[in-house]
Order: sequence, then C-alpha cells, then structure tokens
Amino acid sequence: MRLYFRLAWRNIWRHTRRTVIIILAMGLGLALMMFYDGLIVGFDEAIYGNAIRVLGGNIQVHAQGYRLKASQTPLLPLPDDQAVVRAAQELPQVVAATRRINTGGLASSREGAFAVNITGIEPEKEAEVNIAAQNVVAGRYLSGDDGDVIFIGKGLADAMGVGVGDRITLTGRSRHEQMRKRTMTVIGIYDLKMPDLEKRTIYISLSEAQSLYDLNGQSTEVAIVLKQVGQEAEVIEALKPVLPGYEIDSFEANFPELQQAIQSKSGVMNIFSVVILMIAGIGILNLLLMAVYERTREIGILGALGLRPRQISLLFVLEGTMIGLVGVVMGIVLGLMINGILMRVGLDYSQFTGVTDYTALISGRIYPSWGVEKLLWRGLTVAIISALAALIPAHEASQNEPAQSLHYV
Amino acid sequence: MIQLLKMAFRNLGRNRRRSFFSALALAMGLALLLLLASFVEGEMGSVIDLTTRLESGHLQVRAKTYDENKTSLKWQDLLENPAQIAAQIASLEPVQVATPRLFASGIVSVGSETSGVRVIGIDPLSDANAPFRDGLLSGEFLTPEDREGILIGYPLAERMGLKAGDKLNLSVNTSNGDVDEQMFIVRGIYSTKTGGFDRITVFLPLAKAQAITQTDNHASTIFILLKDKALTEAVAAAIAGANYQVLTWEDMNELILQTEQMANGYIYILYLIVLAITASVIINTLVMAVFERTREIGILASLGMKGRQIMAMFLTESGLLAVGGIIMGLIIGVLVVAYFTRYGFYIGNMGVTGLLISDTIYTELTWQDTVNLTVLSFIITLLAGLYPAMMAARMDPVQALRGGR
Amino acid sequence: MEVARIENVTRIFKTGDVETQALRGVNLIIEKGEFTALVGPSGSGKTTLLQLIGCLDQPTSGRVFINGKDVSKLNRNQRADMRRGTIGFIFQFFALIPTLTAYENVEMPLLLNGKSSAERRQRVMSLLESVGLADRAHHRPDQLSGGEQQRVAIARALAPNPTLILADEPTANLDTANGQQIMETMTRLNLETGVTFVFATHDPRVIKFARRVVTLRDGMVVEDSAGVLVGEGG
Repeated sequence: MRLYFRLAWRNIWRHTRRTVIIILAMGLGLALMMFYDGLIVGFDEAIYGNAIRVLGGNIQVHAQGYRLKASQTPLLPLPDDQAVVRAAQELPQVVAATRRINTGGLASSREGAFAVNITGIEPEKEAEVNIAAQNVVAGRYLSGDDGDVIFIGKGLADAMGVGVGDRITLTGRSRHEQMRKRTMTVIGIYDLKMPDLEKRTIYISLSEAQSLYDLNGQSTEVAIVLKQVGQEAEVIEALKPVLPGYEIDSFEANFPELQQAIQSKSGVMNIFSVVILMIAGIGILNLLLMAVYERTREIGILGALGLRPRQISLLFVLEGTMIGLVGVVMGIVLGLMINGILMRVGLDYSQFTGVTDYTALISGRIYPSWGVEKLLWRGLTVAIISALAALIPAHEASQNEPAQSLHYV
Repeated sequence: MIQLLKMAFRNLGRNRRRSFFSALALAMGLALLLLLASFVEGEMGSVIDLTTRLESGHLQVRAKTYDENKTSLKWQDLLENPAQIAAQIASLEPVQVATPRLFASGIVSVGSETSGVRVIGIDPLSDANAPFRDGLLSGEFLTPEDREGILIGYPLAERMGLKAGDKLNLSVNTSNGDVDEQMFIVRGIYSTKTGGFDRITVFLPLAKAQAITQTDNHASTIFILLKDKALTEAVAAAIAGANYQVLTWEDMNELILQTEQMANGYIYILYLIVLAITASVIINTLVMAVFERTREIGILASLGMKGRQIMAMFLTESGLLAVGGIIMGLIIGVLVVAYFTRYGFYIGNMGVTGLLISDTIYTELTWQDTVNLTVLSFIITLLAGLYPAMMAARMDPVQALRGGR
Repeated sequence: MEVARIENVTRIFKTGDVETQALRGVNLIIEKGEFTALVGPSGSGKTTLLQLIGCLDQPTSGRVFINGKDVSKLNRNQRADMRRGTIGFIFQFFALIPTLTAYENVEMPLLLNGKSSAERRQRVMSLLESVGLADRAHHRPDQLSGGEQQRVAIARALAPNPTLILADEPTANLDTANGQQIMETMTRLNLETGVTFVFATHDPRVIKFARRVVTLRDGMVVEDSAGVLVGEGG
C-alpha cells in the first residue's frame, strides 16, 4: 500500500500548475463552508451569550407542565422553590440560584401600549448576576422593599415616551384568573443596546409580583447561574434526581425556533456545498482523464510489472482523493485566515435584530468562530466527492491493455 | 471569424468528454446560482407581497401625529369619520379597495396563561380582508354587528388550546391610557401560513373595536390596495391632504427593502465564489489543451499565425465552451427552479416576527436575474480563458515544435 | 526444461475494418537458460510474439504455455498475476516510472511480491551493484543517462527472480558503446543467474551475442539456429 501512496502522491505534483488550480478551487469551496459554519457558531454565541445573561441564568427550573406552555408564561407556582434553591446552591458549579415570577402583561400609558414580559425578581440576590442591574442609565435598580415601582429598558422608555418618575399602567392576570391592573412608577431604566429586547422585558420586585398575582410566598421559576457555559448538562443531570417532578431546562430550550432556523438553513447549505464541491470534483475528473491519457505508456509498464487492473484503478482513485485532501488543507488555511480576520472585525448585524425574537438578543456585531466545528464531515465530503470524481478516469486507466499501451509513444 | 469558430468548435470536439465535463461544471454553477437567485427573489418577493396584502397595503392614510410604533389611541392621533374618507378614496379609479382599520395592543388570556397580541378592528365586509376570510380554518368570519366575536390566528389558537366557540379574555388599551378587559367568543380561526403574523394578530369588527377602546368613530388608518402597484405614487399625490399623512408601501417596508439590498450584496459575493470555482475548472481544461497541442501551436506559429490570432483561437474556444455550459445550465437551472416554483421549499417556522415570511417559499426566477447571471458567467468564463490563451500565444515556435514547454 | 512453449499461435489485430495478421501459426519452445534473439524486419511479428510469451496479450488461436501452464485463456487479472514474479520486461524506451528513484523502481516488483523490507533493501542494492549503479540509487530517471536507465530496467526485471526476461529492442535507443555494455550485462547475468533471456532485435551487433537466433518473417518462423522446430523435434 505504501507503494500506491508514494506513486499517487508524487503523481499529483508532476504538473504543479494544474494541481494547484484545482486545489484552489476545492480550497475555496471548503473555506466557504468553514466561513458559514463559523458564522453559525458566532450567531449562536451572540444570541446564547446574551440569552444567558438576559434570561437570568444558564438553567431554569419550573413546575411540571410549564414547558408545554412556556410561551404563554403560565403562573404555575413551584411546589417548593426554597428546596430548589438549596439543591442548586449545593452544587459547586452554581454561582447563584434566584426565584422569579414570569408572566405576560400589557404596559400602557397615554401614548400607547405594549405587550411585555413581566419578571418579578429578588433584587438583592440578582444584583450581581442580572445584566440589566449592571446597565442602569437612569434612576436606580430595584430593591427588596420597593412597592409600586418598575424597572424598564431604554427601548420601552423611548417607545412609550416615559422617563424616571413617570407612571405606567401594568396589566396582567393573577393566578386566580382575575385581571390585575396597577399603575406603577418608573424607578430606573437599563440599557443593553438591544432595543427590541428591552421593549419586551420589564422588572418588578418578587414581593410585588407575589402580591399582584396572588402568589403569596411563591415563585414560578428558579434561575440558576453557572460559573461557565457548557456546564449545563452536568448540572441538570445532578439536579434531576434531587428534584423529581420539576422541569429543568438549559437556556437553549427557550429558543426552539432558533434551532429550527439553523437546522433548516444548514440543510440548504449542505446541498449547496455538495453542488459546489461537485463542480470542483469535475476539475479533478478532467485533470485525471488528462493524466490517464498522458501516462498511457506508464500504465502499460505498471501492467507489465504485474499490477492488476483493479490496482491500477486504485492508484488513480488515490490520486484523486489526495488532490481533494490537499484541497482540504488549502481550504483550512484559507478558512482560518478569513475567519481569523472576521473574528477581529466582526460582521454588522444591527440592521436585522428586529427580524426575530431571538435575533433581538444580538447586540450589534457577530463574531464568527474558527469554523472548524464540522470540519471532519466537510473534509470527508470532499474526500468522497474527489474519490467519486476519480472513478471514471480510474476505470479508463484499468481498461488499457498493456500490450497496446506500451506501443503508445 | 467563421473560420475561427469552426476551428474552435473542432478543437473542442477533439476531446468531447473533457469539453462536456467542463461545460457541465459551468452548467452546474449557473444552475446553482439561478436557484439561489430565484430563492432569494421568491423569499423577498413573498415577504413584500405578504406584507402588502396583510399589513401595509399599497398606501395608508393616517393622522399627521400617528406613530406606528406606539399604537396610540388618542383621538388626535386618529382619523375621524374614517368610513367617509375610505369611501372617497375608494371612488378613485386606480383604487381597488380602501377600508378603515383600528390598531390596539392587548393581551389574550385563558386561565392564568397570557399572550400578547395586536388587535385590529376591521370592516368585515371589505374585500381587503380576503386573505383572512379565505384562510379561515374553522368557525365563521366576523360580521359587522358581531358584539362578542373575535377572529384569532391558528398558532395562537393552538398554543392556548382554543377552538371556535371557546371563550377568551381580551385586555386592550383605550384612548384614555387605561386598559379594559372583556370576554370574547372565538368566532373563527384563520391562517395565512405566516406564523409571525398569525400568532400575534387578532381581529374584531371595527365597531366593537371602537367601543372597547373608547375611540368612537375613529380609525388608525385607511388601508388601500391599488389595481396596479406602479400607480402608488400617482394615487398618493392625488389623495394627499393637509390633515393627514399618506404612506406608500415603500415607506412602510423600509426594513424589508434594506434587508433585501443587504442580502443581495452578500449573495453577490457568493455568486463570485461559485463562479471562481467554476472558472478554475475551465482554466485547467484549457491549460491542458494548450499543453496537449504544444506541437500544433508550433506548427501554426511557423505557418505565420500571429500570437494574437492564436490567442483569439483559444478565447473563441472558451467562448464556445461558455455558450455550451450556459445553455446546459439554463436548461438545468430553469427545470430545477420550475420544480420549486411549483412545489415550494418548506422552511417551517423560523420564529421570524419582524418580517412576514410564509412557511413555504416558492422560487421566482426573474428575467433580470437570469440575464445578469448568464452575462456574469459568460464574462467570468472568458476571463478564465484569458490565461491559457496568453500562455499559448507566448509560446516560442521552435520550442513548441519540439514539444518542449 | 521448457520455460515457454508456443503452439500454432496466430494473432490477428483489427483496426476498424482492416485486419492485420501479425502471427500466422508460430511454434517455438524456449528452454531454461537460453539467451535467444528473435530477429526479423519490422512488422515480422517479433514484438507480438514477445507480448504473447509475456502474457501481455492473448493469441487469436493456438496455445501458449509458461512453465508448463497454459496461459492463453487466462483473464486479465490472472495474466497480471502470472507476469508478476515470473516474467521480467525490458523495453526499447527506458521504461522506468519517472516519479520513482532508481532504487524505488527496482524495489517495486519486490514490494508487489510482498517481500520484507530487509530483504528488499539487500536485493535492490545487490542488483544495482551488479549493473554498476549502486552509487546512483537515489537518482530519478531524468537524472540518469539512457544507458543507465536501461541498466536500472534490467535490474528491475531481475528483481523478483523471474524465470524469463523478455527484452524488446533493448539497445535501439542507445549508442553503440552503451548498447554493447547493455548486452554484456545481460549476457553476464544470464550466465551468473541462469535466468532465460529472449530479446527481439534487428541489430547485427546485438544478434552476435545470442546463442540461439530465431528468425521471423511475415508472422512465421522461417529459421531457427537451434535447428529444432516445434512439432518435428517434439
């Protein structure tokens, strides 16, 4: 086998120019894919990175039945929220575990009205981990004994034309299906540079939420902040046996549509990439057809030395595959260069943040990753397509009768 | 010239298979680009079309101070006696339909579950509501006198477990900044296959909407559809008045148009990359052809053919190759696109709410894209042919005759 | 002991509608250790006969035996297996693989026959030494002269210890001195190793090295210096 590799490898470089052109084509195709893969990861990170901070944690614990209705934020109290907090705090990965109440409501003033998510938080406990708390631009953050005050985003404040000290009517539903309407004073405004998101998220203190929505001493969610992203799975595994009957989800579960969008786009990209690689594959095919023709006599010699037709075919398939793989190396170099630059510069996405709920979490620019996440599969695809492209020339080479090939000058 | 074409044609015929594969590479590239272009066009076209039909219309007339982002219900931000204004506009010849609409924000609640919605008061009899009437999945459409009926979208109904005939609570803001709550009966469930719209939009008869929001005989806008989109500017000028603002679909869909422009910019980079890959395949084929024919080029040169003529010969070859590839590519491309134009490309719900995107995209190939891409492929193939042609032209006849390089 | 036996062999080539009869009923026996020249003008069928003996081609009719085995009906793979290890070839053009060094060219048949690396190294070096090229082992073919290339080809032909070496006009592309040297090398190796050599030529300076001369004309054996014709001597 080493002989075949040696022959195939050296044959590639007999006509450097030709080979280099095809390698460039393959490399360009692969680099394009790496760029795309990198972009998807960057997109994910841009959203998830902020999602964790905005959602208030890497993991959320809810009462049973919540998951199915998550987008309607039902007021399902946790059976024993203190026990959940205690269980979470025993784990070394956990930085904070805080109780919350989430519900939908309407924020209205004379100027207009907006459907919002109202989140009741424990102000002191969240002060360190809540991103909104750390980005106050006017007034102040909530405190535990605040009543009738509300902490809103700059996006909403601008849209409603309100400032600190102004009053907003907050309408929601209580646990007992009664409408709860309360006029509250804006105590502070936070700015995350994500206006579309800020329009939808307002904070009140947990105690206020408890009394507003008839959840005396209760909460609907425990948000758990971890030391780093990526520990979610292990923490969920550790919590499951301790907290039977609770629904424990990582932050990703909040964006089912994002996963679908990415999957659906990746599917299109996969088809697209296969077609592009096939075009480059035709380059390999043509190159090898030419090589078979040029090396007719040499193929005859190999035959005279006792190589079987199959083995001669193998030689060309190896050659094609190797060209593809060198193309992969070229592609990796190109791809790393492109992504390396974009990692520093970033891509402007601010125009599109309003398009979906999840893109609202992107604060301006997207920074792609190196794009090596799917490299193994991409490389394999290149190798397979290159090998397939080599089949026709390889077959042709094996059909040569050595007696005739040797006559060929 | 004829001579040149003949020679180039024969030369390509000498290695038919290789020429075929090179042309195929170009064909695949072009077909891919056609599909891509038609997909983007279809996506964007459908976004604009959907937005026009469902949301913006071709024109809207609003009060001077109305701010779309606030959905204000203050009387001074609204149009008074909208039916009359609508009737006046509808009497213009190019206008297909003009109807008043009232916008309010609200939350729908069932039990302790809530969902934020946009409430639109419509004149149930207007033809402008055809997309919702035709998209009725169950129950009935609204009638003008209906005092407790509401029309909701399928995704909302599914999420909240609502069927036609079920009850729900609706809280909406009112003209005095207050919020009012009332119980409604789900009269019907509609679907426009546009998740982002259907999930958040509920309809009330205009009279009922005015009553609950305490806006009396007022509306937020007059929604206008024209017989011909091209007449938008003309009609806008005709109905312009001192007391209200007239907005065209272009004004209202700035985000979409910007997105489209941006997408087109990115996609052009993609086009160039695909064509660069295609071009390298063609360069290679021609470089090999030059090598193969080294001796022949020497003979031609010794017969007195000038470098420029040799170059012209090879360029003609790449031109012919391009024509062949483009014809093949157009056939493949048009067939593939035709399939997706007919059966569509299911993308599902991507959670898009800022734009109105249908769950299935039907590709749409425009003449402009077809011509642009064809010309682009032709030019790039010719450029690719330049290098081997120059190589051939620069060959030294003595060296070439020996078959050297 | 018979190395090759050719019985009533004919070979017809078809090119389009034209049929060319390259061999018209050839009978020939090659014994072990022979150093035999096939001579005759071009077109007489020398090369065709060599290719049939070398299992590169199949007869239209008649039979070919190599080491007592009928090879005329073997398929392509079986013929390839037969060539590998049993028959060595030397061609008129210096048929080395251009991407491999002299050493690697000689090593190739050994690799194909699955010899161990120690065995290979030792055999390649001794072969290169015996053709006087030990110091050029790591040169590529394009760095060697025509004579040197042909000597590498001889070493390669000998490498797997074949029973038979077939050479088609081995000196045709060489000057007199180099041709002489090639023939001397082949003669010496024939005597030293006992391997059978059959070569096609029309060069009188080469013919004089042969111990047996078989003359072909128009696809038939017209003269054999051994005086033994198949069918008569049995």
